[in-house]
Amino acid sequence: MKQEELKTLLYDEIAKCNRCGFCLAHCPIYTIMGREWATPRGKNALVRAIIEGKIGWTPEIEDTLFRCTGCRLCTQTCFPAVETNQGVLAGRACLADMHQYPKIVDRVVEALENNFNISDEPNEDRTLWMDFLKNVPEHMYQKEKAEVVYFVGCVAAFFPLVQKIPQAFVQVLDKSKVDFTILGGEEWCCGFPLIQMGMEEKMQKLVEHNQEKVKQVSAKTVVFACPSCFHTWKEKYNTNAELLHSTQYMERLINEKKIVFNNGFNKTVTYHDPCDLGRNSKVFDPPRNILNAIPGLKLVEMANNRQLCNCCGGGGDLEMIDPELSAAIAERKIQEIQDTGAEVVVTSCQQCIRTISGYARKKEIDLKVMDITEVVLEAMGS
Amino acid sequence: MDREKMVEELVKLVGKENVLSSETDLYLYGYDASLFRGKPDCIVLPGSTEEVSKIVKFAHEAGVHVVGRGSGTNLSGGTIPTQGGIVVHFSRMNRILEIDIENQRAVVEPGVFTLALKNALARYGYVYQPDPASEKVSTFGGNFGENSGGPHCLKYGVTTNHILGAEVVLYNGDVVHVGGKTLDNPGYDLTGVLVGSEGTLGIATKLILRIMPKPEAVKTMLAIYNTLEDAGKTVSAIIGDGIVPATLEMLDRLTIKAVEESIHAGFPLDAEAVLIIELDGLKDGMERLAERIMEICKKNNVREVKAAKTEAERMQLWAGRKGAFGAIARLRPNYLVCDGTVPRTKLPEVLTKVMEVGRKYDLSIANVFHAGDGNLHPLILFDERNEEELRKVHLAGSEIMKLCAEAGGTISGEHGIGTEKKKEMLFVFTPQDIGAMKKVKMAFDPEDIYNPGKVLPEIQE
Amino acid sequence: MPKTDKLFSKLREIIGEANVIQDPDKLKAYAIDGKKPKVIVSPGTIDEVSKVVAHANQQHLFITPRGNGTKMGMGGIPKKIDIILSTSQLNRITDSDCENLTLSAESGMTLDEVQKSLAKVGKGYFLPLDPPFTEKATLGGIIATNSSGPKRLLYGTVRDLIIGAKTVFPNGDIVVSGGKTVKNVSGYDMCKLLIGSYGTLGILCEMTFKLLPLPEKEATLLLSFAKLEEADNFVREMRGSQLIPSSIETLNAIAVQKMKYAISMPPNGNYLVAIGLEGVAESIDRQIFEMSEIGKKHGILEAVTLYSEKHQAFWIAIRDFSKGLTEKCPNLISLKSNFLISKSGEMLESYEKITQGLGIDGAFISHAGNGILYSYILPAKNFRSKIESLVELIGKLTFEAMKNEGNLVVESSPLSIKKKVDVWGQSRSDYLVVRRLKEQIDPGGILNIGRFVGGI
Ligand SMILES: Cc1cc2nc3c(=O)[nH]c(=O)nc-3n(C[C@H](O)[C@H](O)[C@H](O)COP(=O)(O)OP(=O)(O)OC[C@H]3O[C@@H](n4cnc5c(N)ncnc54)[C@H](O)[C@@H]3O)c2cc1C
Ligand code: SF4
Ligand code: SF4
Repeated sequence: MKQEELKTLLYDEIAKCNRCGFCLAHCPIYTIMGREWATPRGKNALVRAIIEGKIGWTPEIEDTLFRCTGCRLCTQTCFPAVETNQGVLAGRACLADMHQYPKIVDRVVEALENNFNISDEPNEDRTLWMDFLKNVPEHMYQKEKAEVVYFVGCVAAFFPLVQKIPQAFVQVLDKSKVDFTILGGEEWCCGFPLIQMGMEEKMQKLVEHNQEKVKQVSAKTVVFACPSCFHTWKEKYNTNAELLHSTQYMERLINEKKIVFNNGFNKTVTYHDPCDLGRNSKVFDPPRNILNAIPGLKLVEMANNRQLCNCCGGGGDLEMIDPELSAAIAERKIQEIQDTGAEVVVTSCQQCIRTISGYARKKEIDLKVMDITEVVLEAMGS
Repeated sequence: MDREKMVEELVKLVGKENVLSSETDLYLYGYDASLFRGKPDCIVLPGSTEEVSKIVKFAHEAGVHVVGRGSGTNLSGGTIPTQGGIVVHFSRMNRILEIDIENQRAVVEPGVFTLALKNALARYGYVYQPDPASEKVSTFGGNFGENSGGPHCLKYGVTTNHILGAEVVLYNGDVVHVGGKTLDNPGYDLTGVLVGSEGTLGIATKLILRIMPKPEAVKTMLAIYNTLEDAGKTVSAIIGDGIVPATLEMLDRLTIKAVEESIHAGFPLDAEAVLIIELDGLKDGMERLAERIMEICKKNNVREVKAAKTEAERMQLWAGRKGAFGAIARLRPNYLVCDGTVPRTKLPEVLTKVMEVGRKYDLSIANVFHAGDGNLHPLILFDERNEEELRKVHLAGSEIMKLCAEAGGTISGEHGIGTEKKKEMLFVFTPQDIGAMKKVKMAFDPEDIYNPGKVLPEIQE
Repeated sequence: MPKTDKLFSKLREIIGEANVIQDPDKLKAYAIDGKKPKVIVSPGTIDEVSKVVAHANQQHLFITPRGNGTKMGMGGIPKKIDIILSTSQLNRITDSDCENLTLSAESGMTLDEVQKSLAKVGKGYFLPLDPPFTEKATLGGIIATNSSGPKRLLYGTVRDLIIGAKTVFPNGDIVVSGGKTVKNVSGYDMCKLLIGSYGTLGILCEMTFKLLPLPEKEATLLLSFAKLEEADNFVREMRGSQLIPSSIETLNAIAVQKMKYAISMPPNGNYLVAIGLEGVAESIDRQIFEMSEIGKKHGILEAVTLYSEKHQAFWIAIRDFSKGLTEKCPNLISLKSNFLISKSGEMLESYEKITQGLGIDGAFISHAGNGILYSYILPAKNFRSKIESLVELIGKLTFEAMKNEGNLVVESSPLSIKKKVDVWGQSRSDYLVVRRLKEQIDPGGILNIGRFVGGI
């Protein structure tokens, strides 16, 4: 993106920021860094200064713009609801145009161009998570036609720590007798990382490919366990299929009595709203309705929940760009989780799980983190 | 002293990561929530009193100015480095050091958010009373600097009534303790003078606060009016009847509209004014007082008056009040919050004149304010990118201050003088009065190290 | 004509013959700690005060301001007094604005006069201050000494009630601070500086206060206990509760005996907790009930309730406790200690122990909700031989207060004691600023020299 475009697109939006500072209290980056550049207010001020020609593209601006989790807590708590993250992403796009960005960005872009996934692994390996699953049907969950497509997403497919999500979710779908398929090696990255890196124009190829595949299967519904894929599809894709997050879909299956809880789940849990699912897609009730429907499960809320749920630190590619900062945000999140006294923290996003349990593991904190699909599977029993 | 040298020295004191001096950082620490701009020479983020003391000692020796900064939410330009120097940002000094229930005190570092302490106190059934609308982000250092107020200050007093002591770094780096956890310490009430001094006399590195048990009961009422005048008269009549509620807040038509569009607090769109009246204290007799208040409202032509029945209803009314500034912010990109006080009986008269000022300059003005203590907050709406409009806003703001002064009031009830209202100080004070304040400044900070160019206008002596 | 006479003729010029007194008997009566003034002046307007002060400043004449003299024994021994500036003729209410809950009055008015006039307006208003000797104490004196009483628990002290002041500074400037609105952050809060400044920074001439409507109902609850521990536990529970008493005072047996209000304590009653209540009628009744119930838990011996005249009389007796005492006991020493609120019980206990150990009687009244303890030391007959041990006593009591983050101020004592102790207790780190303020504001050092902290 060029600077002039930045002005047409965002000057009016950013000018709504009156520097009141209310967002400071919420922004995870400021909470850790404690300096003005980390604030949403500061980000707006910088984008504005650039637009007004008061400041150039300094290295610090790059640092600033690449440190935003996209949690949109700022917008949520800002009275004029300034879309700070849009300014940030547009700023990143300008930087991308000038090739001014963290090195790691190039690696990811390359991976996506070569292998269509962020891990830079051969894309056929997207189904390796099945290796650890018993009773995998012969078609390996890949059918030519199906009612439902389960879009697995790169992270859940490739990262061992969170492969338990597709493992659990396919079993839930199976047990509920859903006619579904995955796209296997034909699933390409949804393009979310490119948006985050300010290279939205590069994602078109991915979008078209995925749209086409879903069409070929004649699916009426596409289901995502990844909130970011879900959000990206909703915002950037053009398809007739119904797009649902796994929590919305499972809620439906419960209502249709297709999911039945034979076991229950005798634990006190708290629920963490992933930013892209909760605040950014406004899906707050389905996960709670699911949890409340499980016999024996007691749900306690965190001090900040729903619209105000604190970010885990994993959003906006932050874990890639500044792992230390991401970990520090996770640490605070864990504190908030522990303050509830819950035995398990349940979420519905592989990135949140990675960030939270990754940190807990490293620091040897005894914390059980589960995806909601796992909880549902366990509660269903046989 | 050149910047590089300064940074080098400061890095020795607080470490590299806690000194900021890039162009970007200097730009970012040049603003606050006011309409003013400045540029510091560098920014330091200290982690302890000793570090602050060393920084100030260094600044003093080098003859560099020092400006303290919390969250930079003050509305009067109090944190603008108008003459350069070192900005000391307290975000790292954000620990609640002690909650001492037995002695009804809390000790905090200056970077603690006001609301963070309140949340921590809730567990003990205790409260810290001052409640600026910005409490979730305002710091105690900032509250101390500005002597912040809020709705409940009608009954409980403002920040100064709740800060009992402080650890203060003087202009030369010396650390002194003023006041304390105990009351009536001998000597001048330096704590009292420091609160509201906008960082021009000393920097607080620790604050001792009064906390108290949470009131047993609250009752919140909403009164809806067809004229501002009737609402204003009700305010005086309630007090005249011998009732001092915990809050008496007023919102006018434009504010109501904005609030309803964004928050849906349940205010009727066609009303000219609403009052939010809250009683707190012991539950006994509260019903009776509430009825008496409703009676008074009726005598003053209220259209409708109702009490919140549940905590949720109550929270909704308050969400409407607390979100008012913000809701207004949706109407135009910027707003200037004027902050004047008048004797409360003068409210209707002054409000009418304020609206005239709006018409004169062709500016929209919304009103949402602490009616109970006569603290007006006319919000002038504009777009700061429009220079002509900005010029008019400043003129209108000053004129409104004049109105308040002429009505026997003053030019700031809770937001401070800062850079913004220095010349308006002469609306309410004579050069002699200012001269006396200058002596205080000289006693605390003879070399004008702290926050230069704020609060006191130039006078010929 | 001696030089001073020339100086004083200027005073006559400013305020008129009748208001300049040089009669030796009067001068003697106005002496402080044995230091006699050369002249007493009573200006009738603020302008006159300004001119008198400016003149004195030019001529390096030492001024000591005076209201009605109820607290002239407080503070250190004055270095020198040329002029006593009496505020007795500054005695007008300048603006009574009960509708706005504010009142402006000149500093020479007594608090009683003010209260009486306020009570008559509408449903009645008052200035929520109850320092000692309200029938004589002037507003100026009360503020200059930051004087307070039991009701401070609910209403706070002068610092919470004053919103504006007109003061004559040592250079003669009439300085206005604050204003007439309850909220005001325009410029420095100069009023705070003047409160408790003992006339060392300026002559307070006119003040504006916050008022309150008179409470619907008032009552006193007197609870007697055998043991201090029980009384203290009761008070502790009171402090932590949501109940809202206006005062909580704990008295030891000697204080109860010496007080000018006859209370018949039960035989083994050694401590009295007096609770003042004011507010909405229903809440008073409930609090009396609930407090008595709480008291039972802590072993009260007896609960007595006082209303109307008795209630008033009781609190006047507490406030003016030392009034009758000085006549019977000319060597009375009054001390004020401050400390952490939670240490009220321990402090009283240690003070009793220390005095008993030295065989000296002590009456103690504690503002148990504020962490303030008034001690009235009653030396027996052979006072002269006891001076040393009394000085030692004050030292010990000061030490106890300091252990609990407080201090001790000698409010009045015979000169022989005053000479041997620092009446202001232990000096504090902030005195360096206190001193600088004094130097800036009163560079000539003409106001009340020697009486304030650190010899200011
Ligand atoms: C939308 C909005 C609503 C507001 N509502 C209210 C309200 O209801 N009531 C109210 O009173 N104010 C209100 N304010 C104003 C502002 O929030 C308060 O003045 C607040 O106390 C400032 O806190 P801060 O941490 O942002 O201080 P800053 O703005 O950072 O600093 C304020 C002043 O304090 C000084 N300072 C900071 N730290 C220290 C320290 N450690 N020692 C000495 N001086 C220090 C600074 O130099 C400066 O002069 C509002 C502001 C906004 C934007
Ligand atoms: S982004 Fe919103 S909340 Fe943050 S400073 Fe700007 S206007 Fe205020
Ligand atoms: S989106 Fe989140 S991380 Fe980014 S500026 Fe807003 S609050 Fe901060």
